[in-house]
Amino acid sequence: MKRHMLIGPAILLLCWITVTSGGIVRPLFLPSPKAVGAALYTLTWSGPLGADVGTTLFRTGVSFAISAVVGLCIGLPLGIWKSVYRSLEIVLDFFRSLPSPAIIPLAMLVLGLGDASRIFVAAFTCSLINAVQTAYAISSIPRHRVLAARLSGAHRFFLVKNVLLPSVMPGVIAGWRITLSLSLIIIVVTEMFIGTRSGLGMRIYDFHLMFRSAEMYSYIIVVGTTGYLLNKGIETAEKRLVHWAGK
Amino acid sequence: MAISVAGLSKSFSAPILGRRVPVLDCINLEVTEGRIVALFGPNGSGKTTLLNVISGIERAEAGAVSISAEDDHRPVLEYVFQNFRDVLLPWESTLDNMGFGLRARGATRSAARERARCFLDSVGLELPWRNYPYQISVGQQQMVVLARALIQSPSNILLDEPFSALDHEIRFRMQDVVVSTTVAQRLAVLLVSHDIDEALYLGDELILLSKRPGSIVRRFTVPFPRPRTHALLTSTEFSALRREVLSAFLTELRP
Repeated sequence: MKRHMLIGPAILLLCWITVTSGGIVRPLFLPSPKAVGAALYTLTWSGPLGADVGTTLFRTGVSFAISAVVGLCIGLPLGIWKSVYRSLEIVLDFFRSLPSPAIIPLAMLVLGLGDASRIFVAAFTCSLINAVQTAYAISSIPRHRVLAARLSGAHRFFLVKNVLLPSVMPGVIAGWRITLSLSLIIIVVTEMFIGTRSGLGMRIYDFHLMFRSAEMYSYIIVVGTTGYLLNKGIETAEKRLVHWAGK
Repeated sequence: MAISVAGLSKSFSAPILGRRVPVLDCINLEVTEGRIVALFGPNGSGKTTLLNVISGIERAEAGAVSISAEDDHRPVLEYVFQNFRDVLLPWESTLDNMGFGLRARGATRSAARERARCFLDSVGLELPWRNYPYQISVGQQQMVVLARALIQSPSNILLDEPFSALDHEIRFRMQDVVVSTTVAQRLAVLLVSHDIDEALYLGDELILLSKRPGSIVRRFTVPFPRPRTHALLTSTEFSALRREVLSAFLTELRP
């Protein structure tokens, strides 16, 4: 990490210290960094933070993995056959436009209050995004790349393995970058609403109800950091796996 | 006859105009083994469309195309697209891009690399072969695409402005590579060129196409014996033929 990258967080921290030490904001709304740090320390070493992070990451990971597989399975036929895409366009756009919290009650009704509901809501929304990304990646493969490969004797398995798959990978992984972050967002939201005993979202909401602001802020920071690290991780993977993306 | 086109006509649908627009009108041509036929004509005269039809990418409404090969072990046809940048595979190194056709036809990666290296050595070209296509210059990219086709030793080859991005030095060198390969491997070459000097230097025959819809205006036999050198371009005989082609071209352009 370069030194100048720390300037932003330092400014943010400085503002936070100034606002809280000057008594401009009540500690209930914004506790001091020191109080939040102390809460974070306690929650980490003698509290449920570690388990909560694990639970939320597990739910996010499963949702994301399902959406990656389902997205590919739906996206491939959509991208290959224009007629399939045209026939399903309205349905796809409808479900893509549907805000995921809107289907939380439906998921609870059908799948109950367990993890299945949470994972379904996140995986459903992310699958559609991955499917559309895959379809778009297929339809934007340069025509001459495929024509030239076929004229040079590439057929079926060789063509798919050596030309088509590598051509769509940058688009597919760009979709994964969006849906991994989105899976985390949706899982955290569902944890707030669908009964659970652990998870980052559930804990933020619980501390909010108990007016324990320092703990609530600690969890918000942890959620933000988790999202940031997931995004960085997939960005690094993207650079390694598809170094030619956008070139 | 390696490449033979008889009575070929083609049109495109134009929904805005509510009718079909003719692109090619009754084209007849033949390219035999070991010869280069150059197509020369204004933009929109259907040169690329003609190559597309010959390669089977597009269909014509009328006429016949036949492509044959003397040797069963060689690929029947290779086509070097004008749009060469799309052809390259950005995840493969320059060397692997050159060997792609060989691998598609069953060679191992290492065998394909070996052939690609031999090709580079034999023609005396230097390419950063470890680099990816996006790390090399546009001219080098075009050389890779041309090399990818030649390396496969096809019986027939369609070249659509294959030297357009090359500087003069490399262009001359690659032109000579194409000519020597044509002669040595008895290749049948159909070349599209916008450069009159190039068409005359390389071609055994030059076919002048009309404005859209493209039809054959005139055929010029290029009488200069092979091997030719680029000094030919400065000779009086060359200039005389060049003038003749150019005046026919300008007459064709007149409204």
